[in-house]
Amino acid sequence: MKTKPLQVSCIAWILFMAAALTGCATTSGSGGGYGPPPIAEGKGRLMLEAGGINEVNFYVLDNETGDEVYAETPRSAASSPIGYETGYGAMPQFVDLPPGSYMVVVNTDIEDSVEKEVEIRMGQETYATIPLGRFQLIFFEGSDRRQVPFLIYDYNLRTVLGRGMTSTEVRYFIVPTGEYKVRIENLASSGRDEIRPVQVNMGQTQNIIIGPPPSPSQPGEGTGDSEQQ
Amino acid sequence: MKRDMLQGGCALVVLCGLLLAAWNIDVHAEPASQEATVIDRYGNQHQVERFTYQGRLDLEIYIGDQRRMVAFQLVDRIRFEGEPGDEEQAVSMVMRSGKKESGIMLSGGGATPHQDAVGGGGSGRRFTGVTPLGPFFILLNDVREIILRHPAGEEAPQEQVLKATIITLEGKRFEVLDLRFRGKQRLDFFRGRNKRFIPLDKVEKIDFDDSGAAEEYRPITATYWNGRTVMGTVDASTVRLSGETDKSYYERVNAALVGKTESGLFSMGMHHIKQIRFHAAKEGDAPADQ
Repeated sequence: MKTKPLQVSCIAWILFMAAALTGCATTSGSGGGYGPPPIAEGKGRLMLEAGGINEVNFYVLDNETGDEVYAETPRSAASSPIGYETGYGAMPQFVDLPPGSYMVVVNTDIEDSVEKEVEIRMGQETYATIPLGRFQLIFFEGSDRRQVPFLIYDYNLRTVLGRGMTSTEVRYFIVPTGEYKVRIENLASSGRDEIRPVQVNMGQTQNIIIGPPPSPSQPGEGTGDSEQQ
Repeated sequence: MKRDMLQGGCALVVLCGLLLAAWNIDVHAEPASQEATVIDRYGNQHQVERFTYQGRLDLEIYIGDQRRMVAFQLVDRIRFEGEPGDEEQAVSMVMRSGKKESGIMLSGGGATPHQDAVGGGGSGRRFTGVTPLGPFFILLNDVREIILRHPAGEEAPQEQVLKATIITLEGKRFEVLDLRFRGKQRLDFFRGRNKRFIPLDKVEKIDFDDSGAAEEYRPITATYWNGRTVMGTVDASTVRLSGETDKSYYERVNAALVGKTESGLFSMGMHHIKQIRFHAAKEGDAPADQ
């Protein structure tokens, strides 16, 4: 007869321990070197979910005052000749803010920014989903990659939305999800004038290759030099 | 024994309460999402929550050949007039303010990606969301009408019709109505390499620095109605970029600012402007212009 209360007590203890462990996990689990640090006291956390892109230029405006309360600009301009991917952020960008209503503005590589209104609550993480995607434009001249300026148009080529510069390194251009066209006019050097559609979905990457990429030599193929000899 | 059972039960209730409280704290309520009624070309109605257009809460529409991003928040309903196979769909919109607009939306982008494209692609232009039956998506071509549902009692945001006096470097003055910067009621500018914007409806005047008239970026000083000032630079380049068509070059350079005057449509490039003075929205709100 005494087993029932014992069982109830045991269950209660198990639940208590589970709750305690869960509590620990939510408050300090991220402080062990992995993941973001604990939320600062008296603040809430805004986390950007930009389709796996963990490096965007953004700023946060206070909705009440209109003041800019935070800004981060880790990326160089799309038209800059020195820009390329230097690494990969392991975790989404975040900022701890006092509780309140804010607007997050994410700048992209075209003139359209993405804006999101968020409500920050004390001690909580608020995720702002930013519909962004990225593409890479690779321009070959002969067998070498070249740095060439190009334009990003809307899909029906009515409006120039931005400009970019291809790279010999890996370089992605971040744009809001949608459909665009890119145009490379490189008549002087390579004699090429190319227009390509770009379809950008959230979190997806599209690579567009213009020009003949270097083809790997097939087994048994001669180099050409030996034939001449 | 009964007392023990009672104590155990109480402990359970307390623990459940604690767990529920923890759950409430940890699970953050999603911000209010857009709801809509979508009517397809067969007349079927779909009640959609978390309604987006390709993940975004705005529409890319061409009104009078000008590209505009129209936020769902401003729209009451949209009707697609074209045929399913059309590359461009003629749309008529009724705004929440009661204003009617008609324009064009592109729907022909759903073709297979170019042979040079690797990855991505094949998106099509689609509306997405969630219905009680599960995830929902519909191609733009298949939609006849969308009725956007906004929270009851919410004040409808209205786009203000901006009136301004534009003074050029030569001293000419233009009284302009419905002033827009590249189709938007905000002016994009740069502070260093950081891109920011100035909402034109909150600004009293914008002064352009003389010294930079021939440069690619012109310094500006914007004075808000509340006295706050913001400084930065705006893109005023007149250099033709490789790949630009005649039309896009003309629009970028000479039609950065557009509006209407008494004698017709108005457009001007950033390299011509000396000052923009905005008129107060209502009489008495702010000192009258001039």
